[in-house]
Amino acid sequence: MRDRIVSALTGGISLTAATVLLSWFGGSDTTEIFHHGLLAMMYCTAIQGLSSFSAVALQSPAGTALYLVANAALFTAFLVLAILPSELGVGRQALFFLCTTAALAGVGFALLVYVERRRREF
Amino acid sequence: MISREKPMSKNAVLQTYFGALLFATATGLFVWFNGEDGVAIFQKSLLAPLYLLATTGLRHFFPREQDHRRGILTMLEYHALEAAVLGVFLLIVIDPLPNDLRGQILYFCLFVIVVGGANFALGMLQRSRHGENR
Repeated sequence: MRDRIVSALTGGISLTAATVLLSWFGGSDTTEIFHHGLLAMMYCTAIQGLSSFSAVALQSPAGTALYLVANAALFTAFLVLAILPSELGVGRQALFFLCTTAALAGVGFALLVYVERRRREF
Repeated sequence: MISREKPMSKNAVLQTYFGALLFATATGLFVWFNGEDGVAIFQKSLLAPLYLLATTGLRHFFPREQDHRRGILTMLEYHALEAAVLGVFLLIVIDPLPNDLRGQILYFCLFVIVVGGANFALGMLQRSRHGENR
C-alpha cells in the first residue's frame, strides 16, 4: 500500500507541475493556473476511483469496453477542463470530447484484443 | 462502498452511471441559472463526474472498513483531503471570488480547515459512540 501511495503521490505531483507549467506557457492568468493545478490533483484522485472498478469491469467484454470508455472520457474531460483553450467554443469542445473519447477507447480496446490474442498464441 | 472481490450487479452499474449523469445535469443547471456561457456550463458539468470519481478514489486509499481502526492523524488526513476535493469542486463550479488568487487560496484553505475539521469532529464522535456500543 505504501508503494502505491508513493507512486500515486509522485504521479500527482508530476502531472500537477506539468499542467501548471503548460497553463503558464499558454498565457493563463494566475487564477486559471491555480484552478488547472487543482484540477490536475483532482484528476489523479479520480483515476484511483476509476481503477477501483477495474477488477469488476474487466471480467466481461462489455464491462471492459465500458471501463475503457469511462477511462478515456475521464482523461478527455481533464484535457477539456485544464488544457483546451476556452475560446474554442462549446460546439468544438463537445466534438473534441466525443471524438477523442471514442478514439482513445477504440485504440485501448484494439490494443487489449491484440494483447489477449498474443497471450493465447503463446 | 466498492468491493474488489464481488462483481457489481447490472442495477448497481446503472445506478452509478445514472447518479453521475444526474449530478452532472444538476451542476450544469446550476451554472446555467448563474448566467454563465455555454463553455462554462459544458466544462463545469464535466467536472461533476470527476468529483464523484475523486471521492471514490480517496476511499481507495482510506477504506471504509477501517474507519473505526484508523489512527487520529490518518483520520484527520482523510477528512482534510475529502474537504479539499469538495473545496476544489465548489471553487471551480461556484467561482466565489473571480480573478482574485489570494482570495481563492484563502477561501480554499479556510474551507478545508472548517469542513475538514467539522467532519473530523463528527467522525471522532461517531467513533466514540461506536466504542461505547461495543
